[in-house]
Amino acid sequence: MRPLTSRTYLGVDVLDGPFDSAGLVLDTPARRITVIGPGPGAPWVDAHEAVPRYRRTLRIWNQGPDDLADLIGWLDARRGRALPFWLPSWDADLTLWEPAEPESGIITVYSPEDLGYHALEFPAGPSRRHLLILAAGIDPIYCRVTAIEDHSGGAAALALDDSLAEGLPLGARISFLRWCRQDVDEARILFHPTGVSECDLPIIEIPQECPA
Amino acid sequence: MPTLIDSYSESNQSYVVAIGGTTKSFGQGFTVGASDVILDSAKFYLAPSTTPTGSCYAKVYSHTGTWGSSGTPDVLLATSDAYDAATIPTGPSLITFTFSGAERVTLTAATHYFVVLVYTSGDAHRVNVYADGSSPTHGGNAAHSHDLVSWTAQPFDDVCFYLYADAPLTLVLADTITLEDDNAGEPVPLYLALDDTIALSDGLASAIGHHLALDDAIALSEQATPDLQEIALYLALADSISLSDQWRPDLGAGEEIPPVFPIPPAGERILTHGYLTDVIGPAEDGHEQRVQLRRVPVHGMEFEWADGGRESQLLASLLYRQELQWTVPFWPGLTRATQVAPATATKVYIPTGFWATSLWALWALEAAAGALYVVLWRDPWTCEAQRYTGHGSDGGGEYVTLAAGLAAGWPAGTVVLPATLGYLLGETPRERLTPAAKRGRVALRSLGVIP
Repeated sequence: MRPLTSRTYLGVDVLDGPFDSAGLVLDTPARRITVIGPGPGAPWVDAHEAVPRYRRTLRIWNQGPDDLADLIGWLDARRGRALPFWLPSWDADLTLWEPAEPESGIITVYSPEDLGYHALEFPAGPSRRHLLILAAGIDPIYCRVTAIEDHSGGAAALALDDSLAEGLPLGARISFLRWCRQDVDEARILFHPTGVSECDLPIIEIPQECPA
Repeated sequence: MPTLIDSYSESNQSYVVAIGGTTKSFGQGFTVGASDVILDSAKFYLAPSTTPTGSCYAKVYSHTGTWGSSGTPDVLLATSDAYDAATIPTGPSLITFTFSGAERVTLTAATHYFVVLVYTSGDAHRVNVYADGSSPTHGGNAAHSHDLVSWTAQPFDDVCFYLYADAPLTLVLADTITLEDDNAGEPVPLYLALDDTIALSDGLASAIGHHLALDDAIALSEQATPDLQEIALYLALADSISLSDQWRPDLGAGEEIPPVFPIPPAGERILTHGYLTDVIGPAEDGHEQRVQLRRVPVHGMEFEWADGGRESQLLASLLYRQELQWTVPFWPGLTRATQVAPATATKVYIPTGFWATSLWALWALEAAAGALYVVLWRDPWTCEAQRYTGHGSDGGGEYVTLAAGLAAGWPAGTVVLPATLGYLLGETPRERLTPAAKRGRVALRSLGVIP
């Protein structure tokens, strides 16, 4: 049986069951920007959201009654669109500049001058400060970036809220944890004649509500 | 409604004891039955002796000594409301003494107590208490006191009396709701799921503060509007509680079940599981407000149908009649009867182990609300729905039980489906392939329940 949620982070469920391979490929950031074109003269562009909201649809397969019960339980815990959860992007959102030492509370990542994480995403609020770090041979690490310790020479040293139990190799995958909710109230579970069923879960990020 | 706990009829009376002067109290031992009870009232057979004035009381004591011979009152447990002795009718009468408020103590099952009449107005004002000293048959014995401190047993006398009590407030319906004792000063929010159990005990009253004082009025009522589920419960031991908030779709008198939507899926089958949320925003900065409008999920069934002739005619007929409500079968929950289900049977046997591993648990709320139905289906023209009342197993295997007997007999292997009351959602488009062959799509939604 596949639990959709195997752990919580900051007291909230993480939707970590459907790994990235379970998702549909689209992962769409959208930011409402209104363009007012008066005809003559220059158009006016006005952003209606401070940061983009990512939309993604996960396809959940249920092999049998246990999986289905797990899905229903997860849906009930969300109360439709009402209650948020964490969703890993499963992407390599940040790349280590150098291996991280065990017991260290700092990781150094690529962050180009004026264009990188330290300049654009970290200052934009808490929605890009929660990380899931995956590396071969170690348990997934859920942590929060508390500060930029240094940014120079194309790298930024990120202070984490907890020290690493083990070191991180250069190939470690660092994904953002997105604060999300369901984008629909009603889940549609499609049953196949074989007894297998599938359910597409449209999910939208709600970055402005992300816990600090 | 108070019930009689113990008594000794006034028809047995053979003499009187005048109390109020030297003798201040006279009473009888009694026994509580097999259950704890809450003291309500006592009656003595009384008459005025010498122009009684002032108040007299009934008092209940614990019992000490040997039951039936040397029994006497011990510790005072409760005192009745005052009774104006001047109003005791001239002829001997049964006079009721009512215990109220905190005096409505719990009397323990299978325990002996004493109930006595107390009147202390002096020699000039006395009340006659009737008793039997000739051939008393009550199991206990009488006792009297001159000072309410020391008591004298009268092993060969029984006082005529009646003692009434209330049954404990126990409402048995399925789950247990524990009312914590830290709710002092606040009403207890009570979410009444359908078929829940509420058990109230007298210990609760003192634990939950003034809202649950013994003599408070009980107000346990259904919210006026069905979309509110939280019920504030104020209760007292004295009152009766009736639960009337159970809600399920009103089928009216005779419980006529709406027609089964009989068309089976012929391809894609989609089960929906949905809530309802009002999302306001996002605002200029991206914030949004979300309000959960529906507390429990509502299910639905969407599927494609295809037919070469008669089935589409049937669907056309059904839609032409335009029932507002249907009994909507949920095809993903399909199973089959394992035994013949004869007409009038109220059990339908299903595969052993099916219940624990099936989708039927999805409709637990409907089941608890009495709003789940069992459809027996052979073909679109031959099906029947009955209201589900439970499931279990016996030597014949696992079964579901029905509120009413089946209208027809059904062979083993008949399709058995869970169903709820529902309605057709939107339009029912159909594609005309030939004059006879058609295919289409229907979407149905359950009416849901309010827990």
